[in-house]
Amino acid sequence: MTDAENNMKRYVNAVERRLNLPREIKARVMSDFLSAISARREAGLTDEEIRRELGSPKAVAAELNKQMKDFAYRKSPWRFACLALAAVSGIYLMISMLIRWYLCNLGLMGVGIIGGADGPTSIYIAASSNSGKAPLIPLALLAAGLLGFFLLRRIRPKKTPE
Amino acid sequence: MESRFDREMKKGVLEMLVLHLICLRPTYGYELLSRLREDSGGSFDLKEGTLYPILYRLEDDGLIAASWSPGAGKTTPKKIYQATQAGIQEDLRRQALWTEFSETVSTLLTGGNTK
Repeated sequence: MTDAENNMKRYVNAVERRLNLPREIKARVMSDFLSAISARREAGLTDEEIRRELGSPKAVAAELNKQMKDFAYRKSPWRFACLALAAVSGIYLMISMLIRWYLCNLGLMGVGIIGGADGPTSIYIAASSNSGKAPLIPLALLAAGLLGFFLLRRIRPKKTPE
Repeated sequence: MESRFDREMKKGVLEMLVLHLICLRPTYGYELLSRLREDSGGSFDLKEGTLYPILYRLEDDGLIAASWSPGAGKTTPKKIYQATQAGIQEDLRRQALWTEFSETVSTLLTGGNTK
């Protein structure tokens, strides 16, 4: 009994995993798909027969993806502007950090030569005092860009594509 | 393999038929598929997935509404679709449209009005 349940659960999960749809649409499709299974069980079909009738997870998901493509997200062009913004500020941040790190190492070498045994402590101080001056504007732009990118994915799909 | 023409023609008709069947009595996906297949003598043999976009479009337009029925015995609940008031009216309108449309098409196919 539990074996049969597990098999069906695996089957349903395999279908769900292959659905390439927005989250709400996926939930809607899966609620109907589970309903389709229980209706067939009530009609007296065995789990084996149900899976054969509905098809392999790959075939079911491919069919659902095809049928539901009108319900996919409308891609906002602003979404990609946001991604570009995030990428540019991300790269800027990385480069500026590399430069900082490089300068920091140079500085430490100087300290090391003069100060001798105080090495580890000065590394710590130098690192923390430098990261305190982290560039806030590119960081904010990076966050805003990523936020925009993810929020704009959630635009409602077009009602009737005609 | 049916042609693009067959598919496109069936699509609109199917949406009309699904709404009509739901108007007759509240029903669920599997029953809709079975009724379409049996009552059409096998020419409307759909897959589960074909039905979903039709149901969702009808639901989003407020013509039908979904609810969960408790499953009989130890089975899990099923999603039941039933027509709204607007859906019943729309079904009547579509039936009238279809009757008029099919009569016109038949007339044209049999050589137009003989005057």
